[in-house]
Amino acid sequence: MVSLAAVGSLLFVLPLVGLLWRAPWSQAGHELRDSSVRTALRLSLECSLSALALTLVFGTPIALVLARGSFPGKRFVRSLLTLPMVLPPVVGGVALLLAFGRNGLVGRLLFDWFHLRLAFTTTGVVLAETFVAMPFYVVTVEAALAAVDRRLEDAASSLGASPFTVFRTVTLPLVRPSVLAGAALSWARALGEFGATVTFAANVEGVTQTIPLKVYLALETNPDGAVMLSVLLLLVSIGVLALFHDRWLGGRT
Amino acid sequence: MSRDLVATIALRIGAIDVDVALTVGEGQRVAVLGPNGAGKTTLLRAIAGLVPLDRGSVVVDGVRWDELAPEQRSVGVVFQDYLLFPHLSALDNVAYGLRRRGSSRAEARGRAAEWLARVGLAGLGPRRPTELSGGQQQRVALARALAVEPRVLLLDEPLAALDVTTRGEVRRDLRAHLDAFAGMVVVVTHDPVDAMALADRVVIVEDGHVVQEGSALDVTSRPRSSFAADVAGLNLFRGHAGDTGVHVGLDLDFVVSSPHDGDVFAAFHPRAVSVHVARPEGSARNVWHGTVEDVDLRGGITRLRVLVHDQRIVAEITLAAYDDLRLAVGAPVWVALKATEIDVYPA
Repeated sequence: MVSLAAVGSLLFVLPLVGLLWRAPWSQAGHELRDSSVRTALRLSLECSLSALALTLVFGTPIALVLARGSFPGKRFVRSLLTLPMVLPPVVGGVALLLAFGRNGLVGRLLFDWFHLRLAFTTTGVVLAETFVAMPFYVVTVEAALAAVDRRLEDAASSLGASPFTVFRTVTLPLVRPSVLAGAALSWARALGEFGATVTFAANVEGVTQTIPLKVYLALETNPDGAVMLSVLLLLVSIGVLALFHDRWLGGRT
Repeated sequence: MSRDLVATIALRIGAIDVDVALTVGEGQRVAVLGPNGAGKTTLLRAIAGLVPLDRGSVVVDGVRWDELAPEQRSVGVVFQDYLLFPHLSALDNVAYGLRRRGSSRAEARGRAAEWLARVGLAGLGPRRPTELSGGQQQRVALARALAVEPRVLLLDEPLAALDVTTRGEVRRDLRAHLDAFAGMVVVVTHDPVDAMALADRVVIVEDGHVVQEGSALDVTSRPRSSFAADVAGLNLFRGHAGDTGVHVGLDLDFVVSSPHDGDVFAAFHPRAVSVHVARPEGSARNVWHGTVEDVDLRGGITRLRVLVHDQRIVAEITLAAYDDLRLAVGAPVWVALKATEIDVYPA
């Protein structure tokens, strides 16, 4: 068993070693100063943070309704909302295209009425990232909300707190660790998003080319740059893990 | 405008139909006493507005509370397991209600600190609830409920979660705080000792209905339900009286000392029942044959439950007498009871 476990672990360890081994550390500064890299980096941050904002604004009420509400078809709605977690991202991209593309179900109306285009735009990147990332937040926060002792909320309202104040001063603080964890998870997922983004928003430098897309493209033309950007994303991921070290790696909470 | 609490509460929760009328006068303290699952907690939650009424009303000082949201009712609740906010310090728990009622943070914390000192927890303000003992948590919960100076204070089994050693002390302190409280108090408990120590009137609730109310003395000397009889430690039978006889069961009749008529309760203390291995020849007018169904030894006293036909009579004898009689469960015995020991009152 132990040797099987060891061999299995190699699958995870070796690629990381390879990445760090091949990384052109001496040229790191040079690669990361490249203007197209900086553009992609800025775009990645802007888009992933926008997706995070959308996730928080819409994901929190969704999690609340799923955890507390009772309405017909709730399980179906929950399944739909969490589907992107298991859906191949490229399928998500195609689906987004069919809904919000220039000739899509809603996209056509948006264009005709508001002259609004989502596909192949920066907004499209944000939409694609939100689509794949929000379920991670919703699932994490919903589970935490379902575990909250509702009687604590009763105690708060008996002390004079209105329903919104109860949510703000009791419910939300109680689920704060899960809100942070869910936000970090979904942000990391948005930052690394590739499949849905490239399908729905394409790969246009300065408009839709985020870091993962840049990495894929650079692998052909500038391998050193691609490796360096990969290392950068790796460091971000490690950062997210470290932030929640206590929660996820069995440490104290 | 009458300054009192008049609640007529009817609602169905789970398997019980709660249908209770409760009146608490200005400055009065009422204990709602009853077995677990009788609907006592539901009654408190209904007064606080945490569960909606199917029918009825809650009127406090002439104001229809049942038309107000919970947060608009001037109520303080000490919940059964206290329900302190785990993410807030003891101080902020107590300050919470003051903040919601418009005090500034500094003002709320100042008054919260005074309340903590008043319940004997000065200096423990920065602690989280998990860092406090059960008794300390109970005091924080009390301070949190009292700090908002409510018209109505509701306490749900305030001492049930405490161990025996701290219980007496906390009960005494709680009693002192209730004495200092000007509003109306409803305390729910299944423990008659708490009810009598904390309240001046007792309402007994069983299966969602009031079965008896009155002073602690009334309720314990003339119980009107099996729960009340248990509380008082009395044998209680309901039967039909004619002259000096009371028919209580298929084959069980009591001879009593004074004539009665109609449906009555017959109550007597287990001490009044004597136990014999052979049929006693004496002055006792009530002599029955039965079998020992259960034996309970407690502090030098033995309680025997004797099955007479289909009725159960509890007899209390000394440990020495129990030893002499050599009675085991299932043993045949005679029990005797003097007519003058039976208290008969209308049902």
